[in-house]
Amino acid sequence: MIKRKQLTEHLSYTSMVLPLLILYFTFVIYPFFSTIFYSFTNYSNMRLFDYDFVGLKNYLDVFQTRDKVGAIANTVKYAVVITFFQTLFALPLAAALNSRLKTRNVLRSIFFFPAVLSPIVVGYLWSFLFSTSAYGPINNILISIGLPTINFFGDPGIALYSVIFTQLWQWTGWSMVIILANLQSIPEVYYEASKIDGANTVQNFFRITLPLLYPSINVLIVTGLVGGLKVYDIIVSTTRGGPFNATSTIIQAIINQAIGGGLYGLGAAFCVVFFIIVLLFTYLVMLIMKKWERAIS
Amino acid sequence: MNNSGFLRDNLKLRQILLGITLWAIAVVFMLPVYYLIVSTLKGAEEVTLYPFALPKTLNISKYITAWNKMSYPRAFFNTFTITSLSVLFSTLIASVAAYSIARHKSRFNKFVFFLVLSGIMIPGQVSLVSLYNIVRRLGLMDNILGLVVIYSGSSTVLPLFLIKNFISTTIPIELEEAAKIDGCSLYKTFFSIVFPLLRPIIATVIIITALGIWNDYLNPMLFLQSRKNATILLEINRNIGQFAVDWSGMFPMLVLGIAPLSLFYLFMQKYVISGVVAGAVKG
Repeated sequence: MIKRKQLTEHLSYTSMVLPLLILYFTFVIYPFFSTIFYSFTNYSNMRLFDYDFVGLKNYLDVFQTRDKVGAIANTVKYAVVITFFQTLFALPLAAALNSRLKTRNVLRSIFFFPAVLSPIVVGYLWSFLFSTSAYGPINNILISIGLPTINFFGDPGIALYSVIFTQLWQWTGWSMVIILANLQSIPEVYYEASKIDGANTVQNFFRITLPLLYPSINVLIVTGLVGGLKVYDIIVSTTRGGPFNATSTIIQAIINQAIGGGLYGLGAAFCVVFFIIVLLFTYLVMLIMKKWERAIS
Repeated sequence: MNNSGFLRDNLKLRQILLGITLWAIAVVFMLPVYYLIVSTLKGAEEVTLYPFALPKTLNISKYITAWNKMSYPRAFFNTFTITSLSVLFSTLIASVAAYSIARHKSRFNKFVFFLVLSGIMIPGQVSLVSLYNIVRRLGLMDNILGLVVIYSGSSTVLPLFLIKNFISTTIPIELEEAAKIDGCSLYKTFFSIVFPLLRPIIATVIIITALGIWNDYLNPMLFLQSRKNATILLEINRNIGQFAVDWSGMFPMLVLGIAPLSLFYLFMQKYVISGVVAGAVKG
């Protein structure tokens, strides 16, 4: 009797996990492994059923074509630069908003606001602001103060940095909010103690605040890098990868060439390469952050 | 006495200067949004001549054109349906599973939890190509409900963690044991006793998932082809891609595009910000 009751309970508990397991398996686990499988085949929209194994050919293709290597380089550059500046700008902003300012909640909401928008909308907004046409307000300001116009999204030398700029505008407030939550958890006592010891603001920042901000900075760097490597939407709404592939990114190249062009095997190989890059970055960051953690504890 | 009064004044002065600096930054920071909104109400000439001035007359004709061009009611309805159904299903599925994993430590449950845990390392984009083919083979292409199913499967990870954590740390097991003695079934115990207590974490989960799905462009772009299924972002991309030169026609579309979430944010900012923080720090 007791055994039967236990069994029904066990089955009941198990049935609660099944919907999640089935969906997760179908749309996350299985696609992941079949991507690895397809990456070694010439599966394409011309060979939906009669595809063959081609060994490492797709991987060689990824690393030997200039546009794909370029997309990898752009993506890595984008992720590193945006993570660095996003954290750098968010730190002083959060510190300033952690003061006893009456309007600090309003200010916090203002700086966070762009984070609730889609990068698609943000990208179109900035392509207008940066426009070189007669309407483009930023170039109009440059002209009116006697400077030459800048082709922000059209000049291959600066297009990627212009894209990064729009994303800094969008995400710095998000980073600031995360640091701010961390700052508010630091007990006032620490600062009172260091005041007695005669420490100044700069010493306070480097000796107390920064080490205690380890958790939030860790979050910002990991999510910033991984999110940066996934960059796609903002590219669609600003440069579409141009000019001359100067802003083409991994996901954008996969979608344009693999899904748009029907070269599924090649795309799968590029997906696997992307996965390895993400893993590598996560591992490196964890290594560096562990070192920092050990240094401060 | 005198000295401390001077210090207090000095501190106050510094606060005021800090306030002014921060507000100056905030104004410059919000100029693009201000510019976007005032430009939609001006004629083309007024936009070029007085870019930052308030509009002289309120002209909403451009909004009517934009509204019609992007079939706004339909696009809004599609986005709303996809987001709300996906959030509903993924939250339900995740909370039931989280309860089971938190309370019943069987080998099977441990395995499922480990599986989801390792899945965190896989960014969704990695599986793009095969996901695309699976969706095609399952006949879920160009189907709003198909997209809901995909989201319900792929956005359960963070909810599962947050809810499982919440149950393990804050829900007292005694309540459930009492219910069990009274002969309540497991599902009844969960839905009538545990679920109502999950309200704070469910609110966080709903906000994070809803923002993510509402603003997602990639999945609708890949899986919804026909115009009748288009979301707001797909309509924006389609219209602006087509009329890239017609700036004045594009601005009202952007405003209509950001309006729903901006209004939501205006009223729920406290919850949105704390939800995002909770999701980022624990995720």
